[in-house]
Amino acid sequence: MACCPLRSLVWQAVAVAAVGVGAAGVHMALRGPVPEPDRWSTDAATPAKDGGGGAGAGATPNSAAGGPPVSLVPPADRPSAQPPPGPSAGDLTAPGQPQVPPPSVPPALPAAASGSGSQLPDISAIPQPPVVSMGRAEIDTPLAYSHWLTRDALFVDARSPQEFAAGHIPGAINIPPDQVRGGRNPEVLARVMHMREKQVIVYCGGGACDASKEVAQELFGRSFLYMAVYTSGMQGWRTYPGLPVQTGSQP
Amino acid sequence: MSTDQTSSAGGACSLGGRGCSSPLSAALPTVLRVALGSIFVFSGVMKVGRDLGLGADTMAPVDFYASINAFKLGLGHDVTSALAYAIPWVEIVAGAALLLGLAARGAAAIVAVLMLAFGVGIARVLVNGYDASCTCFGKIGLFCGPTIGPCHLVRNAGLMGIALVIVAMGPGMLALGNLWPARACAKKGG
Repeated sequence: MACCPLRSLVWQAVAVAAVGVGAAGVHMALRGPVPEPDRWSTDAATPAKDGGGGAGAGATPNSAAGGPPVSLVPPADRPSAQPPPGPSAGDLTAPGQPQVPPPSVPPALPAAASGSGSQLPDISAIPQPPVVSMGRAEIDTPLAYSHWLTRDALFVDARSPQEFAAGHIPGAINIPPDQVRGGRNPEVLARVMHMREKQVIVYCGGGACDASKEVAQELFGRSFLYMAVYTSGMQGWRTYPGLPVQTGSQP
Repeated sequence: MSTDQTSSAGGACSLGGRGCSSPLSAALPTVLRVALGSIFVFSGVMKVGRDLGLGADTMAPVDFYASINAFKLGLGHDVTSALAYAIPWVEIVAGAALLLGLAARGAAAIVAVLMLAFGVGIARVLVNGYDASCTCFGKIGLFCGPTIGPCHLVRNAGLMGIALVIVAMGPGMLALGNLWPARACAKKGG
């Protein structure tokens, strides 16, 4: 409609983009830039190579706590789930010093474990795990991974059973929000009650999902003391190279 | 490129005035424009809505940031953060411009460029087998499921096609931009 079609087109486009970017700038100025939740964006391309020391924190996670190591991973998956001695977890959160921020990128692990016949591990046997997140905390992938390595926490997958079966953090149990909403399903709650004074980490798909927060809120309301929401969830977990993923539904 | 005719009350068709007088070519761009504009305002709002107090069903740039990251574009934190804010707002402004018929062709061009960029990103995800989810419309799947798949590529191409039709045909009738009469050409440009 304007006289010089291409030129007016370009001007219109520039104007639209400028207004949009301006609005985004105002929004960003008000809210601040997105905090760096997990530093995966630049590191994901280059597999982790953190200073190769350490004796494999995953191997003897709970010895410091005075009990036998308890696996949250079914035996079939353990060999591949444990880090090799070389690129190991290093000082990735020794039990008892959980507040130490773990390295930005967890060490690369062997290919994903994909066991199917999983049996729910006996988490209650964990003596007294180091607790990091009292109340309702939000944790990122490195911290979640360090918990997974030290096997001191129960991972709760708040996604649907179908999504859970397609791939979840090894050892996690599946509790969609509708199973705990309003205490609807006492059996489900009974399965996790023994973790009431221990660390529970809830996650869902990551990105836009709120199921984890809902489950965490529900459990927190039932006097679970140490609830953490792993915010980037399965998406963040999968973005890291080599973190193990287990498939199959729970018994 | 020929200069186009001044529009009649009905429509404004920029491509050499071809078929400007027909009611269809006046109404078709309008319908497409309103549809595309609604979709984009919606998709933009769904990505920033939580920061605007629209509730937990909508997302915030923080969430969108994670979605962009899953595409593994290697952009780094700062660029990704800027995109997480800019993309939704450009969508909203372009969508509003389409709805109003103000600078509609430019807005449609922006949409087409966005769709092209998204299409490249989606194709990369599909080729490399990344596990990424589409938060294109916040948490709502429009036609397609949440996990990126060929469906998204098709939907993307469809939206891009609509945008290109608007670029070619102009805003059609009932556009605010039609209130300003086409100026006479000062220079031969474009």
